[in-house]
Amino acid sequence: MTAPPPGSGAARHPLPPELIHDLRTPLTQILGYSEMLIEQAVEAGHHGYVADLRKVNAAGHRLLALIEKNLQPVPPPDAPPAAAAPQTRPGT
Amino acid sequence: MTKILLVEDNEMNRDMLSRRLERRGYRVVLATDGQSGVDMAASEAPDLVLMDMSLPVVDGWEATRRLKAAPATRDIPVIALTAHAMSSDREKALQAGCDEYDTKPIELPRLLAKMEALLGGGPGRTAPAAEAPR
Repeated sequence: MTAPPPGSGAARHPLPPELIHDLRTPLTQILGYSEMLIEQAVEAGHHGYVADLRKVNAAGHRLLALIEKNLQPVPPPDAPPAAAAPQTRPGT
Repeated sequence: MTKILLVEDNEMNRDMLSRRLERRGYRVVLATDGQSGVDMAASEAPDLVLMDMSLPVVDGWEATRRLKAAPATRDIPVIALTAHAMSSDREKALQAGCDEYDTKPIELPRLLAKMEALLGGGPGRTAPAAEAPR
């Protein structure tokens, strides 16, 4: 059976919560820095950069939407129910 | 000036969010682990704490419990920030004593609205009215 393509909305793929967490962390930085740079470019009158920075930001939002639409955090099948809760792992 | 304590161990997250808040007129002080966050909350007396949950030394849940157990810091509002997005995460943060919860990636207008709602409710705590250019 072939899995539906990402973005089709046909199914959400189960993944360990930590992996989804680790995907969202660099997206936090991509979106945050790009939004800040857009603000600064607008303020400084660097309009030539704004359009490209908006593309970076929009791509980050598209990736986040794909993650939220297609990936579902689930604990390992042999894990106790408490494993569904996030485990503490510094650095993110 | 409203003082925010940002407890975040990830360097890029810390740099990015602190700069974005400073651009809006907040004064931001930084801690990089939960125990430092508890210590700085006591020494800096911030108006609000932004608490990452996955922290070294002492995690964000335990740090929040310690803040809320100490008379000197228990009235400081705490907003939990986490890249986990499961429905149980919010409940877990609130049970630890957090006053609010927000997810990463940060939607800054949403986070600012939550911050200002909490800051506006306390005596002597006023949110910055306008964005300050950096």
